[in-house]
Amino acid sequence: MKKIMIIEDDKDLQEIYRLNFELAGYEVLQEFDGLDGISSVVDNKPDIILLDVMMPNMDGFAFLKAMKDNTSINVPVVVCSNLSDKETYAKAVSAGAVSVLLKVDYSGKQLVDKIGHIMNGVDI
Amino acid sequence: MKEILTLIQNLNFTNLDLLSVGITIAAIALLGFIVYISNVKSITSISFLIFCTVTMLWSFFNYISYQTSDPESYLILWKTVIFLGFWHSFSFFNFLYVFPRGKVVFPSWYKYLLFPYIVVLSFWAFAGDLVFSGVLINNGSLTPIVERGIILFTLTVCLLIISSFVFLIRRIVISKDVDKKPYVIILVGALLTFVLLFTFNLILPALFEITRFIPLGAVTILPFSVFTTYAIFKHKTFKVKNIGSTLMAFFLCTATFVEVIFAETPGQLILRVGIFLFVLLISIEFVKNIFILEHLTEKLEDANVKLQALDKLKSEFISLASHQLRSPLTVIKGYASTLTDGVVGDLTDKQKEVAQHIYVSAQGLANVVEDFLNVTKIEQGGMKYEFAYTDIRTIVNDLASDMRIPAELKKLDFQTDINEGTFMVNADATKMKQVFLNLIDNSIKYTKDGFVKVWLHSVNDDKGESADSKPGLKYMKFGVSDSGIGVSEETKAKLFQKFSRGEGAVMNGGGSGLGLYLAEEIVEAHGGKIVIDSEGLGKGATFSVTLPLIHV
Repeated sequence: MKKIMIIEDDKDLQEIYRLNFELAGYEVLQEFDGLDGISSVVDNKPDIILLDVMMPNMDGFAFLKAMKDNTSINVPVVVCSNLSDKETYAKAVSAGAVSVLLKVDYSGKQLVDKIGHIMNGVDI
Repeated sequence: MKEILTLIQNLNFTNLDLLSVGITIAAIALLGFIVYISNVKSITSISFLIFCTVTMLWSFFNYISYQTSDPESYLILWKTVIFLGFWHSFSFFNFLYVFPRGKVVFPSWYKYLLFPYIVVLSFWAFAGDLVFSGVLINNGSLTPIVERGIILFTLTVCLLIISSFVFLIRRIVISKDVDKKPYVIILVGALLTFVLLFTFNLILPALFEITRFIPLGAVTILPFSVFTTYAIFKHKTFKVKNIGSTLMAFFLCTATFVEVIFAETPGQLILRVGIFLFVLLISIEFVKNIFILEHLTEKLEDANVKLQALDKLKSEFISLASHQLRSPLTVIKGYASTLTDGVVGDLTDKQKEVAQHIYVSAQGLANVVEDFLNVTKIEQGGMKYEFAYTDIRTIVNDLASDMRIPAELKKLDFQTDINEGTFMVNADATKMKQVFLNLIDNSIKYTKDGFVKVWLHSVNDDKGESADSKPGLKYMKFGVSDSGIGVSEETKAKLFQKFSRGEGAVMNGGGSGLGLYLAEEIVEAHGGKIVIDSEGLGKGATFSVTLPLIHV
């Protein structure tokens, strides 16, 4: 069973994603902040991470940097944000994200399909 | 009169006294000129100019009244000095009364009592025997015969000066700390001036019998003039180039004035007076314009800075607003799709339909946000496209499956006619998808019943000739045809403007009014064309986009 970790502070989005990914057969791990995410990643070693950018204590970019500094972890990270500006995109890519998605573009099922494609190595 | 003129023309300019008086007069004239030019309409500048002018005249006549040995000239000069003395103290009083206001309404006592009083007394002293009635010749030195009118003169002058100080001190007391500074500066200048005046004209002669400094009256006024000019200009930035131009104009005026004094014939005098006045007028205009230019430039720079800040603020606001609007929309879409996809259990058909409506509406709102963001980028010239080889067919297929739902919710017949093969275009996939989405969305919105057809063909030129797959094909054409309300001939061009709506727009809510404006911008940036075909109102319409293909 594939493990997906969702790092997102919005409780509603977390619920929507959990419902959809669990139906698609994933084991869903939920963290509501980057800080919790870091320790959780080390303990649980997910197969893929869905990462929000705007979070209170440790934002998405800080999380990516922390993960990079800890070189033993090598999990693909998909950055999900409602910011569509070029700076956010560039920052995410240079910080090591495999893909950057605009949250509002995807319904629950569409996100599951997209993550499936990414995990199969299609459209990065 | 002639003796005085000769006296003036024969002045020895290497005399140190004359030099110091001359320089002081020039300095005071310059200060008055500068202050006046900087704000010709203000009663404060005008009053200061008058004060400086009277000071110059008073200083000059005060000096030369000590240079003559001719009794008649002596008497006239002394009477002139007294005459000017009245006006000198009055102009001092007047200046401190008006400072720092731009406009003043003079009270009745000022206009009908004080002013006439000064006029009457000063002319009486000049033309009559109010103060001096004659000259005593005493072993070659001259002294004036003083009448009782001197008391009136002294009283008047003292009252005027004391009142002036009272005005000044009152202003200092009643104004707020931050406003006190100019008044304090003027007060210091005035005090210095009067200390010097009393020392030179009263204490030294009376107590030490040193009368030597009396002709240098001009120098005593200098502190007041300098400090006052400083107070007036303290808050204004004074650019160096302006000072240069002002000085230039000033020296030109002085030179032409000096020419007037040294005119030898009446004819020459008239000519030189004419030249002087002409030069003076031009100088005033010239310097005034320089100041106006500088002032306007400053204002423009300020406005520019404010505009840039506002622009930045607008960008940040739109960014933030977009993000804040998208977050709840994501949640609405997420939950609605969770319902329709049966993730939390099966729904009845009706329940599914309801959930789909919610989803479609949320998507509509997300599109509006996207449109706003894009339009802002275009307006700020910051619309950047990420061109890449894109298969348009994939985009159209995805959209067709997405847009089937809202079409079928309206009970419309949703058709597709998408040719086989790849349609590779050098395009920004996200932006182009937005264009196609807007077109399909519009069709659905403006079609009450009937069909909406999404099609994708290759054509061999961009005039819209459709053809089957042939080598050498150059363009692709994407289109949306419908049986909707159609477009009249007049409206066709207008639809591409911002916030325009076609006929029947009132029938439908939603939409940003920017879709077609954006579509045209984006399509043209891709080297393509967007066209509206319609036989008229009520006869449906076809919106098509032609784009150049690349062959891989």
